[in-house]
Amino acid sequence: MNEGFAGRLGTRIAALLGCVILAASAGLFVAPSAVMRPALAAGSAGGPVTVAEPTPPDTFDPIAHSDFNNWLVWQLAYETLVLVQPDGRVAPMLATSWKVSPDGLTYLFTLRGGVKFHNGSALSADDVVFTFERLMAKGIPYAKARFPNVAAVTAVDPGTVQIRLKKPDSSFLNNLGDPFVVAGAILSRQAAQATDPATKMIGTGPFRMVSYVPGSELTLERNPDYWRSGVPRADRLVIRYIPEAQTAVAALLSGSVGLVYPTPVTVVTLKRVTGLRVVTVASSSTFQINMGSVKPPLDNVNVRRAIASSIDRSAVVKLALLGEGVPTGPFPPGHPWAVPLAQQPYYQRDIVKAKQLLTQAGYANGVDLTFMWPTLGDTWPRIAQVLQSQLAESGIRLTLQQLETNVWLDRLVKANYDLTMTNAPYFADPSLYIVPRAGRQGPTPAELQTLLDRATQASYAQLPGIYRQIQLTEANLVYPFTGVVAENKWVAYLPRQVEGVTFDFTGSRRFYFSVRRPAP
Amino acid sequence: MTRYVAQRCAAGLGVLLVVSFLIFWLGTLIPGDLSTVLVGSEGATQQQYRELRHRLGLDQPLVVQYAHWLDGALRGNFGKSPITGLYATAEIARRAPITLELALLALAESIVLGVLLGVFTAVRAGGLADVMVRTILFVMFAIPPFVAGVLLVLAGALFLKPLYQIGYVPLAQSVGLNLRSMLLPSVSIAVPLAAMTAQMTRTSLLETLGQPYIVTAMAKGAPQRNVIYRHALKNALAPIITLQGYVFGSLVGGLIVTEQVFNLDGLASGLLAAIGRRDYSFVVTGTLVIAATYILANLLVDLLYPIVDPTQRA
Repeated sequence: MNEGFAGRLGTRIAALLGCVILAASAGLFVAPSAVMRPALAAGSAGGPVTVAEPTPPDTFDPIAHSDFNNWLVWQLAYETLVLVQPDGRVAPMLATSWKVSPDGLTYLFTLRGGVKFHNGSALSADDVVFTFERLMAKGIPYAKARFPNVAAVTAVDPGTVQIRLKKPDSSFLNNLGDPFVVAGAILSRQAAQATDPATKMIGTGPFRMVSYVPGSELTLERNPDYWRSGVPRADRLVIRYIPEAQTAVAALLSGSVGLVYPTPVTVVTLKRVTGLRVVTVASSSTFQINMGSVKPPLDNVNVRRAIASSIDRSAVVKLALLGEGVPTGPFPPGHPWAVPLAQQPYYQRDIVKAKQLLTQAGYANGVDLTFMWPTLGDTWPRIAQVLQSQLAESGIRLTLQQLETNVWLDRLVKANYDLTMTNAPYFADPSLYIVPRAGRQGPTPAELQTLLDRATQASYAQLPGIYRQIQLTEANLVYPFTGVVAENKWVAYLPRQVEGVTFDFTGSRRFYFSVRRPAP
Repeated sequence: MTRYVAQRCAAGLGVLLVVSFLIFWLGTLIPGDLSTVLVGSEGATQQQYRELRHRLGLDQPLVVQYAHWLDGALRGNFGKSPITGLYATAEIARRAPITLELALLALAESIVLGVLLGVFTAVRAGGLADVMVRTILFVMFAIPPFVAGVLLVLAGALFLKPLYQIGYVPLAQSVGLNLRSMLLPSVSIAVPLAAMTAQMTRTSLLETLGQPYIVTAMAKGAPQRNVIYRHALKNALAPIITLQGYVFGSLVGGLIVTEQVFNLDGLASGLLAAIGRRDYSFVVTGTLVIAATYILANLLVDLLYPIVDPTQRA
């Protein structure tokens, strides 16, 4: 009896499993026809464009994240009062014009008429007031630091906003017009009070948000009320978040996505594939070496100079970036204000001088230091290993330490390290390429502080000269960091799925406004 | 029986309570908290840090923070990430079915494949077929899941387009697409597991086949098929079932590599991302779900024993 029961049970389980497997295989063979329909519909011009991005945004709130990868999505749905162009010019955006008072303290912006937020409400001066109130109340320190000198924002009338500064600020317009809309994105008071901006973007931009599956897929559609006609060109933009580089390659090769951002490793494969296009740009993404100048031996300027003089930047490009990059100072190489490396002190490799400097500092037998970096990709450990062997020649012995990113962050912002590396993106406000960050290193030397203060108060025309002096001073003091390399970036796409790709050195995704699916 | 189940469930709840506190406490031991994540690499003054930590409630003692969370949890509010603005329960309710489906499919595939191959090799023990199948299984077992996964993804994209679907499609949306999105990932996990199950089945079955009652059954001329599947396999099942309980428990928490490679936004990859942003409401709640699955899977296995083994019946 028992045997019979178990026997029947066994038969039933087997039968059930059989059914499941049959159903599964039936499903598999039915599936192709099920996907054919949307795929065919997508073939027509103006259909959806699907792209893959490696890093999903943690938040949609433009005052709540300091990481470049998280910013990329904000610029698609949000807009700012003005916009900094890739060539550095400041162009009108939501403000059609602005007037600056002679003392440089009062800015009067005339808002564009007829602009609507994605929820249908009209843009008014009150929304700009709300945006800045919210930033000051809830912004993370990084976002607030973009506007340290704003004293008051007032609505003169529904179409005019006045912003008063505490003191003249040469970076103000540049931060207001950051193409990545960090901190300056104009939110709707009505929308932000009804919906948490962390979960939904309700801006004035060309795309509006349809849905987001956290960490997986973001669907945007054309904003039918957008104030510029013909923008964006695509009806629909689907962004799939694929962190694993090889999986992104597979998604592109199978046609599941039309565009990906290759890594230095996968780009080698993709360049050999026929039927797809790979665009290479010399990007503004730079790596710098930071020195924990709070404690010995790195509080000694000669030790820092010895380290800077031991770096062979061209070799780092060749060995760690496989040739896909260029040596750099704090400003990215193509920047009009960048001082050529040949003119900057301690930027040329000189082992004899490095050893002399170490001896002068009292470390004739060399020094032992720890070099830490975050878990953020393959490029970091490769650069670290090259630097380790280069510095060893001067007697600077590095212990390499890869850390979990937040453990690294914790030590970085408390200046609790010897040497580390940071990665800087494009900045619309050029001062961000050179200012020391709060807490990351020892006290700012007086001569540098004087120059930094002068830069804030200066007129825009005076800036290139002052920034030149700052770069030379920082290179001489090897403080707060020394530039190493700027890396190339790539975009790979299927021309039969996507056209209108114009990727530039800023890494901006504003070219999504001009992409579309070509006619079959 | 009911009392036994009730006892086990009560013990399970106790375990969950301890687990939740342990995770909370361990979280505070790791350098870098939520304020570090919010500040990012661009730095902040000590004053700004203090303000931020106060706003997030991180300046309160651990026990107070835990009590606050537990109080919410008992009312069904397991917390919300201050960064993403998403509720832990909503995110887990979305992600857990993906992981559970993947784990169940992989388990089912591995049991069918493993038991069949186990019987196949046991019956041919010592023969060429036995050695060959076992060698292949051994190689399959030795390939790390990230290698097998990446190879399957690339092969899928190039050669198996009808079977290939990157990313998850919910069952409610399309059964066909759902199975397509699950096939390659579940196979990549099932094959090494099947190797384990096959080995276990073979050993257990060989042992049973040597028993006098099997010899008797064979001698009296019962069909070999009946002897193997009815008499022998049934009695050899106990250790195999125990194995599946453990395998399922560890599968639910251990799918991180597979989820990453196949871009499935399940529980495991959600946990990894949550740890990355120090979102402990998600980490604690997600860990509780995994712990609960483990407890339930083992309870289920214990309840299955009496069915296959009469001597275990009360």
